[in-house]
Amino acid sequence: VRDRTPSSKRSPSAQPLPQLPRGRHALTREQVVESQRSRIVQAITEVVGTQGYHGASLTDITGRAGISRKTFYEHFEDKQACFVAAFQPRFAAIVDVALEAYAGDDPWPDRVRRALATLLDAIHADPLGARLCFVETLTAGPQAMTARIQELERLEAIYLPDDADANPMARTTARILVGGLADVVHRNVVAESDVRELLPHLLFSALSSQLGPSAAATLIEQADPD
Amino acid sequence: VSPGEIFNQDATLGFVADDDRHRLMVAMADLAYERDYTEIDEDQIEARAGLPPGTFAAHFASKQECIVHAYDASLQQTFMATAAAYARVSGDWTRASVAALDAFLTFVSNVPTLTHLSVIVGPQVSDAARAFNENAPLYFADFLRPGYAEAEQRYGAMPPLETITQITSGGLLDLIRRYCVERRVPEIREAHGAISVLLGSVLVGPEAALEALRAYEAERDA
Repeated sequence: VRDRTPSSKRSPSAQPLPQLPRGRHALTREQVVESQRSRIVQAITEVVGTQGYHGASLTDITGRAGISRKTFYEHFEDKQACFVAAFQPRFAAIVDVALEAYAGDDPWPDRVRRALATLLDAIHADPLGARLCFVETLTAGPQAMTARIQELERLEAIYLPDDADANPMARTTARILVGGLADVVHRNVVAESDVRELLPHLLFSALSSQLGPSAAATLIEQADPD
Repeated sequence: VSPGEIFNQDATLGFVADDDRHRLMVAMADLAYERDYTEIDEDQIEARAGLPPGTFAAHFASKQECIVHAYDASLQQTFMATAAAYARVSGDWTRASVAALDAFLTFVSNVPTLTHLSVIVGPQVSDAARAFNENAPLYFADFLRPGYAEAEQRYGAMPPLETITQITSGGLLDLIRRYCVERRVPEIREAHGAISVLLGSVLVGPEAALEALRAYEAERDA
């Protein structure tokens, strides 16, 4: 079995993240709690992003966050709950920018192209988040899987053309295309390939599902002759 | 098809197994469907299988090993049933693909606990299962190859077959995950029309794909 951890990322810093001053300080209890929580979330993001979910022990996470196990459990029920708190906001942010790009009154093919391009740019810009959202969510457990499904479900909107209500298969088709997108992104993230190169392929699949391969190829060619 | 039948059929393929072993794997799949596999212990598996204490250890070194064996047997049978359905329809790749998908989804829906074990639990416990699941969608590439060759001739440059397959079949795998999480695996055949038309649309367009689906359904239901 190959080592699935990116070669460039196999040695996360063993140093704890910057912490609050020890001893007497003027911080409120809320500020301390918030600092602890954000350090834990940052720590699990880095440790899971570099070692994989199952390779990330609680000791690794608490060590990186510079907190005790007891403090960890004051914030999160378990590792999976902490993982969900780390990846879901990043996943939501990626989906949000895609949905924002999709908005508009121009033709559906143009909106799909814009949404997919924006989505892939966002994934490319956050490699750690990409690994958490598209790779590690599949094996972390039921809470993570449910949160992943929730985010992907929001993305289905871009695959629903204006006349989708008239097609009883439209919703399932959108669901499958979103799942397929997640699947190819997953493969590219694992292979450390540039996800932005997937754009014409994802666009072709989306457009041909509604317009057929000939029209899809023509639209893609017209939009980007290169 | 029942989980028991899967393992019995598997025995005819040279898989070294006996009835106790089958029962342990089925019990493991059933329990993993009900709760997180980390919460399952060997005593519970033996009790669910109706076998005396110590039986599990006689057959498997660990829960993980039991899961991986059940995963292997389940996937092998699923793919065999799918390939057989494809081969039965000769000369028309669109209808053959529709038939293969129907066989695949029928198999998957008949054994929800094993489907859940293959799609959700296996990748959690085994790197090999995880890697296999990553590549599993490409299994369908062979079904689409004849249509892909025709489409290339007709339309010129197409995205690579592997990428098209990964997007469509990977989407199917993700859909199965979703039915597993929602505990609705027995209902997954309801997606047959949509996935068939999507697979066909990419190569021949939605109208021709829908026509192939309707022709297949008429023949099957007759």
